[in-house]
Amino acid sequence: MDREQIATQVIARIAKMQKTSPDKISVDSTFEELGVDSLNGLELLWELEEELEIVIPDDDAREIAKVSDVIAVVEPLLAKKS
Amino acid sequence: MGAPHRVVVTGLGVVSAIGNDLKTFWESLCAGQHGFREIELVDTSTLQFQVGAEVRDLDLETPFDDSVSSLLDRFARLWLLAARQAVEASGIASKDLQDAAVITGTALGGQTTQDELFVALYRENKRRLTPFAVPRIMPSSGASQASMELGIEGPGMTISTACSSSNHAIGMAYWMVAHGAAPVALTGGSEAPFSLGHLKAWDAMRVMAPERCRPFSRDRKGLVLGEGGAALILEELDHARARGAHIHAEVRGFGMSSDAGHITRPSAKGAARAIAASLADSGLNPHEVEYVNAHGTGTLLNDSTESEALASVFGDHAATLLVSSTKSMHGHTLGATGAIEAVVTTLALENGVVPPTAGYLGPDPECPLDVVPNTAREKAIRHAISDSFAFGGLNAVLVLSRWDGA
Repeated sequence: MDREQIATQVIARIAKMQKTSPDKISVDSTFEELGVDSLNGLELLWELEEELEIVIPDDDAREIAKVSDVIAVVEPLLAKKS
Repeated sequence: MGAPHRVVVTGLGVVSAIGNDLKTFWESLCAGQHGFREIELVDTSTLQFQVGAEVRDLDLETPFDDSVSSLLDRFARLWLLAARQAVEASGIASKDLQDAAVITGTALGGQTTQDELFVALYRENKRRLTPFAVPRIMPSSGASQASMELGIEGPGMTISTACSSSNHAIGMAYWMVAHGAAPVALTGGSEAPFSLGHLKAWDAMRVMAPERCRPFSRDRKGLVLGEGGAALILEELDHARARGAHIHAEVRGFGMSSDAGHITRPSAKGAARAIAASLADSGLNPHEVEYVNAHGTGTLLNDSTESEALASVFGDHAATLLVSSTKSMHGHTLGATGAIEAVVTTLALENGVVPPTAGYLGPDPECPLDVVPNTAREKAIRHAISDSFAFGGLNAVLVLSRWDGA
């Protein structure tokens, strides 16, 4: 899965969670702008872990505040898996 | 405010990761000694954290008769051992306990038993469960067992408000004694949070510190779960005097609030409202408070929010307050934490020593407080508050005062 595919998947999940269109979300969007609170953020990471069969370390999760942060954390974990 | 009776603390008991008796517990606190170790009760290989504050070196079997033992979850054992200590230390006679209240707090009750039974049922395909399951699991079993063992026939109940549980319990017990519902109350709480199912739930919250809990500190990474129990005997002042009881401190006020906000994100406004309510109940002015035993969980959000709440209630006086989180040593014992910290606060008032916030690495600008970093401080404090702010925004704050004999 390349970076763009990861971005599409992450954005689709957030769009579903926040009941909005993926067109309204970019990789630069912050969780604050999107109304993703701390618990929604945990839910998002948990769904990605389940779907992609990865484990996102707490230290990485702590730093996540925007869509691009999620991608930056997920990409190397997927690369390591394959 | 207008309560007919003054209420004093005449007995204390504690079991915790930093001491299973009052003396050891207090010495650990004064030395800044923490109880964080690799968790032994649960296989942590699938968890992101491996450290907890477990009760060690305590016999949890032989102190209980065979007839009772099979009915007791670990949380009830921790509670009963703390309760026995408090009753014995208070010197109160059995006949005086008959009219007493017993008010306990626990967030989880017998979840250890529940977890074990789920393993038996779903993994081992057992077809039948022990008939003792219900009496072990029910969160009120601690209060019931204390009532049976000690012959307590007055009001009895258990409060479950997550991390505020035992502060709510002590507050209710205080008001009951203050308003004449009972002359004496055995109160406090306990928690036994170490089961795989429960630790997994905390793992998913991503608020667990990897090695130790560093409240209010820069680079803090979260909380460390602990287990334990603490008990207090609260007594109507004249009742205590009539029997010549030793008085540790006075319970001076209690306040509560609800955040009406978010299920996990704390609210400075809600916390401030509970602190202000406790002060109003006590009749004290904010500037008379000298010590705050903070909720101070060591999570990023709790500690900055609590700092903001203290600033809003105390204004400029906040800078002169001594504020320590002893969770930096005994861990976050969830429903027991209010009771353990009420014991800490009582001992601080009685001994004129404020225990430190241990594990402190340096200031966080979001927490501009004197957190008594790493080293206990001698100070004869007169009035203190003890904060508990729970997930779900149910807040409870106690006010305790030094007992000077009048």
